[in-house]
Amino acid sequence: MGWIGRSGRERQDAEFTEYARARAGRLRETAYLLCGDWHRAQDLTQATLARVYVAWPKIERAEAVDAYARRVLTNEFLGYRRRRSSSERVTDELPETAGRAGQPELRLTLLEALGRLSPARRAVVVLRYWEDHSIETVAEMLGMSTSAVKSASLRALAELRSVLGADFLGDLAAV
Amino acid sequence: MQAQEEFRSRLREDLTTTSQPPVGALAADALAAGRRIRRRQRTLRAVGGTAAVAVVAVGSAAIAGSFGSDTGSGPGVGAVGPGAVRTTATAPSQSAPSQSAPTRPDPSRSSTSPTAPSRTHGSWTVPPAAKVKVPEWVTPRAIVAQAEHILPAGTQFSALSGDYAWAGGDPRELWAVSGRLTIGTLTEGTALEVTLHKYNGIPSGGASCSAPTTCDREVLNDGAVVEVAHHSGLSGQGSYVWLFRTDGMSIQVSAKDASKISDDELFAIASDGAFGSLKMEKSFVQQAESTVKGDFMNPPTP
Repeated sequence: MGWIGRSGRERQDAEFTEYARARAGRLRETAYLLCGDWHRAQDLTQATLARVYVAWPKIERAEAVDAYARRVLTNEFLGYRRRRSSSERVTDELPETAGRAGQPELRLTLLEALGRLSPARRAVVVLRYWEDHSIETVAEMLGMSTSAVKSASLRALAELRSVLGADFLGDLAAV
Repeated sequence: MQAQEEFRSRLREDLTTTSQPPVGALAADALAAGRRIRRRQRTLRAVGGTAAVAVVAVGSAAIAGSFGSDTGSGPGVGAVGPGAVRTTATAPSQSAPSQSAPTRPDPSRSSTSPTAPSRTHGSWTVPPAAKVKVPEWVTPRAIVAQAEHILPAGTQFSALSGDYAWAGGDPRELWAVSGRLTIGTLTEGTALEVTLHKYNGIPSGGASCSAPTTCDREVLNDGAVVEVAHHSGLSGQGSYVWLFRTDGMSIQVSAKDASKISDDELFAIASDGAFGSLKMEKSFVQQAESTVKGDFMNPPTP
């Protein structure tokens, strides 16, 4: 990165600020879907945008910035989860769903069901179906093979269906 | 595609039911945080004269003399081989610390003007990288924990922090990992900076620093290259020892106040076997992650 003058920096800062304001809300939503906590989502988003700012001079295309931001966000989330994992208690218990079929007020929301997935599977689901990335892109972002992403996606959908009902998004393919 | 749209629609619906706090000054806060990272990177480049580096800050007026034990590694690594002998001239055993007040072997460091390192470093040897049984990527906290282990018992530690810098791109080997700590009190101690970075090579030629920094670069007996520098900064005269191991690892250890810690001591940290790779014993890293408290940001995982 070459030296840039004050006016260049100001221009970059202005461009970045415009980008951050435009994307912060959406990024934070994705962060929330990943971590399930708005305050943590705020922190993740800020850390992500800070990294985007650092890389800003090296990234020219807007699409590349978005892709970079999502990659950083996912890594921040998974890194955070890994750091927290030793102090968290993992449960394999799934909620009962049979008795809830006719009771919409007690029905588990998709958001809650998503929160029951492992961090890696949740990341796959969010990136694949919320962010609409291809299998290949998700694999690249998560540092996984495409077959591993497909497998994680299949298992995640099966878990969601076991909680939300077998007919949940029946035609949502895992690939 | 219809199912996917329904999926998004349901999630969006669920999102509206949560108590979403206002975005607030997120963009401005991110800009400020990004500027801080950039400033830090620029400082590191200025000090190191090259791309980003990783840093551990260590320093103290309370260091009782030199602190190098002869073990050359710590709990974060496996046993170090018989070659892991540090031959710093002023490094007493950790079990037999100096009983007097800290003494500084190099009076030139008390000068207020930059001075070139006053000696060559032929006695410095580099122990092999520690063998790791169950490897885990090093983290800023693990660097700090290892630095604490290297320093003498009784040393005060504070202001622990660490993060990482983009050092050329992915994969993960090219991230530089940083950890910082102040040893001694915040007012009487000093900061020491140690750097873990996969350099993948040995620098050729001499050191490139210029006034007010003075430095020299020397090839050690085993082919490793060490660069030693003293420089003037806003807070006084700083120094660093930058070791380029033959296996491609670079470790930089910088002191904010060079009068508080000797070059030998800096080298003792830089050459520690545990810092000989970007991997440490998994159990040590995990313990560091759960016990070292401070302002830390871990690098992205590979």
